[in-house]
Amino acid sequence: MSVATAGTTADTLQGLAVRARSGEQKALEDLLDELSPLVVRTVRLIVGSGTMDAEDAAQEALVDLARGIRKLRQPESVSAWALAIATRRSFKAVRRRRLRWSREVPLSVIADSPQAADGGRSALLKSAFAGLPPKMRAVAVLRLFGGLTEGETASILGCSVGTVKSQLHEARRRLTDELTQAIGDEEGR
Amino acid sequence: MNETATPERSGDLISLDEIASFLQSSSGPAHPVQSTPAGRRIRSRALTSLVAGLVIVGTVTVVIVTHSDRTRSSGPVAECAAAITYAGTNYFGNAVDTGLVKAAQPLGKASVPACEDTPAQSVQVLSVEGIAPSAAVMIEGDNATLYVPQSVCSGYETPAFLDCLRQIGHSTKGG
Repeated sequence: MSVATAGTTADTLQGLAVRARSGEQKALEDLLDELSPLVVRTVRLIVGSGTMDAEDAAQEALVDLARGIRKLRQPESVSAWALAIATRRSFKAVRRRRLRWSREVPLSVIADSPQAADGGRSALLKSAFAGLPPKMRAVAVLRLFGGLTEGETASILGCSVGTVKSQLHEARRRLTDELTQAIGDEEGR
Repeated sequence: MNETATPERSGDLISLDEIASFLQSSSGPAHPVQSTPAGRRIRSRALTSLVAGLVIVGTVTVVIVTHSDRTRSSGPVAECAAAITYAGTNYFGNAVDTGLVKAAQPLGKASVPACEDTPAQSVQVLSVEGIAPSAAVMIEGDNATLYVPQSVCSGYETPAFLDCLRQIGHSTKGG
């Protein structure tokens, strides 16, 4: 389910990781190319799309990947490792953003506005998702976007599996409440 | 992928598939947007030098993640309910901010059903300060989740949720 591995098998990623870890520069560049979509989108989803904070954090996460490839003991887990780094950078960006106003990126640049084909439900969902606490967003992103198991998600976030479960359930509840309320407001107009 | 053996409480909640679909579709371009020319130069230079430097850097071994990508599920993701069975009652996990509640006394063992990569297990149950065990308990090592029977204080938001639980603690009977 891992997004980064779409069209690329885990074996290929593992092979790239092994070669990159041994110092092969071309393999590292290829590996970064393969992992970039997963890392960048994970960071945007956790930090919040449309801000330079997210873009900066994504850049930093990619640098971390390049810097840390030698530390990767299990190349077969390179996607999960990349998600862990992306999550860590995301939380740092969220903490930084609390200290100041964030610079916004023009929406024409971050062209991820939901399509209107579903009557605006995606837009409502996007807004509701952005309103979740960062950790709750991270749980949802790692589980549902990154395709990690509950154990892997708990390991990355430094919490228990029970917390992962309850956070994901709470996210569903809040999203449902927000959608219900927004749809009700729309119909009331 | 195993579903949880505990009672389903998802009700009419938005499906995980819809959330997953939303996350997949609203992620923007696959590469970071460069901020400023100066920032771009700095990061580009840093990345280039790092890549080059890695050729001569020695190996450092630190375990970051222990699970294999190959164990990753490929089908739809099931939500395993955060649930335990304690004293014959099913308690469901509710996320609470750390620090709002505090564990008190050990109460005994509860069972956690198997789900996905998590085998069935037994956990230590703790009482919560100011709240009766019939209203809520915690489990050892997790101070961010309150386990509450399904019908107890449902529909409340924090902090009213906690107030409700505390009141049950005084009346010994909740609903």
